[in-house]
Amino acid sequence: MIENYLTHTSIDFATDKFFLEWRILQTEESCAFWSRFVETHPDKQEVIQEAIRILQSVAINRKEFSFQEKQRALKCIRNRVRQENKRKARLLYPLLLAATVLVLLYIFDFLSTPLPDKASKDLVATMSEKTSSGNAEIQLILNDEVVLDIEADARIQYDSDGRVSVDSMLQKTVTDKVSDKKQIGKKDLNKLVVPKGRRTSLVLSDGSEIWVNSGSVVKFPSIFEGSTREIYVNGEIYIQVSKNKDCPFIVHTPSSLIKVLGTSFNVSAYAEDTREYIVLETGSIAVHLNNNETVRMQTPELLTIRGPGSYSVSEVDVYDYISWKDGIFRFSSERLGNVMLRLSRYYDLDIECGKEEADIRFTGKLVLFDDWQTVLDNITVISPVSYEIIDHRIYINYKK
Amino acid sequence: MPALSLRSFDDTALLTELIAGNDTAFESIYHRYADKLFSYGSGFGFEKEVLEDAIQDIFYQLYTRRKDLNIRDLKFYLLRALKNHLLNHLRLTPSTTDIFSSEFHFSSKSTVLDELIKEEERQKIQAKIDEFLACLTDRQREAVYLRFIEELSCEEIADLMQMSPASVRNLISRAMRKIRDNYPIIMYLFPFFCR
Repeated sequence: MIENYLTHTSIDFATDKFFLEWRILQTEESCAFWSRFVETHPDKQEVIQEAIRILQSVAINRKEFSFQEKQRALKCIRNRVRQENKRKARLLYPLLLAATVLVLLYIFDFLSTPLPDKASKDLVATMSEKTSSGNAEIQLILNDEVVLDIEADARIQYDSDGRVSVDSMLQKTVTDKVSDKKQIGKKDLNKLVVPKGRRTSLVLSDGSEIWVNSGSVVKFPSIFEGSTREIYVNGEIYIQVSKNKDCPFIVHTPSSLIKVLGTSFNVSAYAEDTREYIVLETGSIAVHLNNNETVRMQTPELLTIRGPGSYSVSEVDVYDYISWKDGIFRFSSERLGNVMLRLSRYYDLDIECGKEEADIRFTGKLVLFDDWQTVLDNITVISPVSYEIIDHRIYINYKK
Repeated sequence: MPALSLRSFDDTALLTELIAGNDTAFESIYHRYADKLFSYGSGFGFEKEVLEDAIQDIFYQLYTRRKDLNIRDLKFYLLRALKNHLLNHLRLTPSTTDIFSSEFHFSSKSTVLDELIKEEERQKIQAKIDEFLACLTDRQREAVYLRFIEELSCEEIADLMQMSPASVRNLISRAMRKIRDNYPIIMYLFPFFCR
């Protein structure tokens, strides 16, 4: 047999199984054998080198695209890249256009709209006292005098004469018609205080409907008089404004003034938050910022206000932002930190989310009619975190 | 073709150029790897059209996400991207009967490219190699392909085939044992003859 190897040609080697084992699998045993073989038979070295070279030229499953096919594929890729760039540019384009149009519109707005003047800013500011009174019930304060405690499931409705009815399973209250003698002004605004962990909804005298989220204060008149309808919000509301093109509806928040004709949108403007979020569901609105800048929004857009003069607009799935009014939170790839912030506010909980954990992206639907334990349990099932309660504080950390 | 001027660049240099936004580097990478990916993918038995689309997607991703991808080894990245893409393709294609299995069949057909040898001899060598590889399981064949043809490390093969590096070594040594079973008995004695 050894003689066989000694008379082997390069082709013979290249077709020998033990030689193939060395070249292909490189097992220890074959490596040892063949290096020893070359050592002891230096005259075979050349033939073996030749066999190695042949095997190095072996391709397995060799497939090739033709040059034309490759050029075509590269062209396709370039086109896709170009289209993607165009798509991105298209998202930006309406903003640029809106900016130029706004320059013109702004002049008119400046004349016709009361900008967030000092008085109204003060009014919003005085609302930050809000829920700290320690009262855990929803309260409706009428003209700074009458205080009504509102049941959680109650429906508050103002009729066109300014009469308020509070309708719940337990009670039905109807107030008198607003007396004609009483001057209705900013001082006589009604105040709806919704503490943390509660929420309610309200129908205004013009038929506009407001859902008020936890930890919010809304001020509004019993009936709207004059050429504008104005309300003041510190917190989060979702509002469906009834259409009246002769009488703009204006929502004042800590850092903006939102002017609409008839539309629905969500505003999250908690004075203690560093950011204010406005999401437009239908129609279009104009948002005047504190620095006298005006942003016109189209649906489905989110306006994020970070501070005076610092804001951004992005396209979003609107329902993610207004789902709370239907008793659910829906998130698509939201930071877990934000999910926890929303939950802590909704249920009035003290939640501390670890820094790394806060960056986990969360997608899912949380049913808010459940108690908070069930909601947190559900979160731990679909994300890699667990929670722990120490001294009334909830800690969110990675599962161990 | 301008891509040729970067032919001498190694992968790391090409990648640096690509991240910097050099389109020529992108084309060079494409020309360097399109056929390799085509070959690797065809081992799994996919049609040419599927592989063409998959490879296009992979290069599109490579281009658009070049700044975020953080690629350590270009060849390994591309092979893995292709395999993942093909796995997804299988899962998303309803006609696939075996959707729960992430296992691929891996077939192999060798070609001797050395043009100095006669056609007849080439055929002979190809037949022997095919016979040799036919003794292996699909996974063993894929591992051998990645090691022998693409010269990946055991760690990279392990990553691609979702197993530990130790089991890759194990897989290869088991492959050898299987081939040995088909050897004529005399082969076992060989080392002794040599001494």
